[in-house]
Amino acid sequence: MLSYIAKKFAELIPTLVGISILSFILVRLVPGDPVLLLLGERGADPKVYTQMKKDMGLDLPLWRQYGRYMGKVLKGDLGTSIVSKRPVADEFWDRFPATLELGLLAMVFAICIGIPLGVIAALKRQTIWDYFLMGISITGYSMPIFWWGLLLILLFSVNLGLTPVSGRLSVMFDVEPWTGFLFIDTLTPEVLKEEGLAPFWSAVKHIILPSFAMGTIPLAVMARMTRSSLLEILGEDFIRTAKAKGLPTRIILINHALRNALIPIITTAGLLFGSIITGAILTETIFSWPGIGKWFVTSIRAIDYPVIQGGILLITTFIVLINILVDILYAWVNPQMRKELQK
Amino acid sequence: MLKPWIGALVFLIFQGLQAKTFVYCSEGSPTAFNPQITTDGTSNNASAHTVYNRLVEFKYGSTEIIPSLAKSWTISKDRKTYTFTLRKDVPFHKTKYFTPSRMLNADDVIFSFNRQRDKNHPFHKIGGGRYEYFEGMEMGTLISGIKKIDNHKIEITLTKPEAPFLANMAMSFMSILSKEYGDQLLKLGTPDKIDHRPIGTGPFAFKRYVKDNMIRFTAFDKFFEGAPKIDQLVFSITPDPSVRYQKLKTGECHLIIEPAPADLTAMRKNHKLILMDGPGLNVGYLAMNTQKKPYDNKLVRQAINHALNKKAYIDAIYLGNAMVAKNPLPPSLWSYNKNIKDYSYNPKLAKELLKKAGHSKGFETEIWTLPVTRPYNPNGKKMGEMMQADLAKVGIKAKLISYDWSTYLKKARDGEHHLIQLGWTGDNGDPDNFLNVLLGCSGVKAGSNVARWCHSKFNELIVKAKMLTKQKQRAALYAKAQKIFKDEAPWAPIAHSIIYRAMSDKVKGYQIDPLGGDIFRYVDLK
Repeated sequence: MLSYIAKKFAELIPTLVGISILSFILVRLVPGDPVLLLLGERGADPKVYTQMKKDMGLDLPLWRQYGRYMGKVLKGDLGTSIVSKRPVADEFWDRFPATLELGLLAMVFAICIGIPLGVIAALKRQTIWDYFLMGISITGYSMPIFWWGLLLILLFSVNLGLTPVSGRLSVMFDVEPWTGFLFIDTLTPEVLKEEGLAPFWSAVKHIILPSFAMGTIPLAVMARMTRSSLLEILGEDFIRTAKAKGLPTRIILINHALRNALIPIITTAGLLFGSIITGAILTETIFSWPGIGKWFVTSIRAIDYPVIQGGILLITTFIVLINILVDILYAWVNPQMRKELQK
Repeated sequence: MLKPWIGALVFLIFQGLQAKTFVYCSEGSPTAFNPQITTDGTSNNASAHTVYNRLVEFKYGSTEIIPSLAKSWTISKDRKTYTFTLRKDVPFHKTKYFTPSRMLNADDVIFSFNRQRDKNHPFHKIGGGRYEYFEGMEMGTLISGIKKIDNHKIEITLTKPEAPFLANMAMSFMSILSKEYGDQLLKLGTPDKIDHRPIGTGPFAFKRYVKDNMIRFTAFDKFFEGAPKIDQLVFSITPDPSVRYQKLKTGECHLIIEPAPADLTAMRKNHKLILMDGPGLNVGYLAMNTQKKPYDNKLVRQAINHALNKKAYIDAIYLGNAMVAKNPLPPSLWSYNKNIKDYSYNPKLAKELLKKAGHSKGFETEIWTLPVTRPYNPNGKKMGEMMQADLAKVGIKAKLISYDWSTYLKKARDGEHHLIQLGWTGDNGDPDNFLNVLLGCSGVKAGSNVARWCHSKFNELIVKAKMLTKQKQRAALYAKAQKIFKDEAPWAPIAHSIIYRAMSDKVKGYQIDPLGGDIFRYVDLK
């Protein structure tokens, strides 16, 4: 098993090198000039312009720019943002916890509701329940987040007054951003002593709507996936055997059917999580959630080369790590794989 | 068992009553907390108007220049030496990370200016070493020397007389930082903190910035013009305008920036909200490349002016939230020439003018449409389509073209365009900032004069006006210049947009800043 994990990690290296080259080239294929964007309508004397380009190292030939960039990356330096003039890594870690916290909750939400819904639909196949649940899931899947998010805000925040409209925490609480995860930062001894649990509840209230909005599509996918995967397994011979043996339905469902049905579901969940993290932009914009999605889009608009390259590299690393985790989980639930690994 | 809870609740309510927290829902994140290195309004709101002051400032709600850190100033006879006398009672903020030991003095002023001027200044290279505004306003070449006369008197000499200098001094990038704080940071080896954990003399002291989320300020009770009426100021960063509106309705914000045009009608009907508007210091225009045929011919340029139905653009593209422009200057700016008569919308006359110019059959051309959304032009493409239709009526076949923003600007600077949509938002409330930057001969090379129009008489007038100090004399010259502009017609000026702010009816004392900033020094909550 260990060698399996080591092998997976070794695969990480060529992936990252490939991604670094790809992102480096793609960013430069985007038409536009970051220096001119900085200057805007004002313009500048050609002399000033050339100097600015030189200061940013953008006057060098491409291969030398890449060499300089990779040299720095190997030393752990992802470069400095052209716009904010701060290190890319700092900027990333300031925002990533917010996205991760939201993404994790959206995923928990999608799994905890999506899988049971799929199971119900599979068991009550071709009944009104099945049609109803699958109808809801296709609606959820096709819902544009922009519209859905605003609808949720209108209903729950403006009309019912149950949740706040946007943001991560009420402005009444001033919590030191220690880890960046508000579920942790609001529970530090100092905060508890000064303000009690109120900041924590405020954070909980703020995350409900965005994670619901963000989790809607994954939920629909999970439900449909579970249904079809389970239906397939339920038709297998070993299920018939188990039934013939007289095993209770509950055992057949949980131990035999669901466990086997989980394999494609886990893979899908892993992929969905990756797309949740990278596709957080819409949810983050609507709910003013200070994560990486929004940061990324602003940087692309400004053609902030270091941020786009560094950000892509960090996110790719994260997604590859998630995939390794999925592979490990996969091996764990799938006895066939486990056996092969032990050989 | 319940007692401590009730106690806590009462305490919280009591605190809530006592501490007045003002929440401003802004649209974006500041790039840094130092207006010397930032260029956008969002950053200025979070630093220049809250944390810092300047030697002179714009009067609240106007573009008039009034004393601030400098209580008075004198200008020498040759108009090249400015002597500023500083106030002696200006304290700097005391925060968790800095405790000042002295009041503001001349050293702080020199420290702040020289960071941008002097390449050997210990802070010059910090944060990238680029001072776009300082260079853009040509302060580097304009200022020849800064001298400390005594602790509260400094003398600035210029290389040539320049009237807008005082207005430049009131701009955000001329904010005064603390030298003592700078020295402390240098000693600690963390000089870059100067741009991210600011110390100033302004009405609000910086407390905390949570990236893309909120900025927290506490009122500075020792502020030299008197403590603000609120206790805390929070910028809650909310990029989506309709979400800002919802937050305003639920009371999560007290004031929101730039409401969506589609929400304005509903806001006007809601009696719990106040919708304020003011003229924006901007202009959206269609420039004609006067170095290219047929736009080198004045008659053709006038014909284009007659062909465009500007009123229709205001209704369709600005949804009525703008006024038709006839001059390059917005009407809120002094020296705006009211007596100028605009070219009427008259396709027949346009055709006649084209005929006179030898283009009776019309011609083919290109309209470059603005690829970004700006207050001065919210939808370049749509406006382009309307212009295309208008020009077709007088026989001009126009092709619509657009590039991404930076390519657009680059190609415009290189003069590749025929007709191009662009615009401008004023920096300092000085007419020079419009007429010289956008239409002066020096702007042709820098790329800000996209009509590439260099008219000797016009240029002579605005260069002369720049050297005078009396506003009345300058205004007379600018009025003449606008007349030449109108007759020569290098642009078809399109619109001046209106600025909107929506706020809760609890907000008192807020005024729209004609320069586009949001200033909370005087606000209060009922």
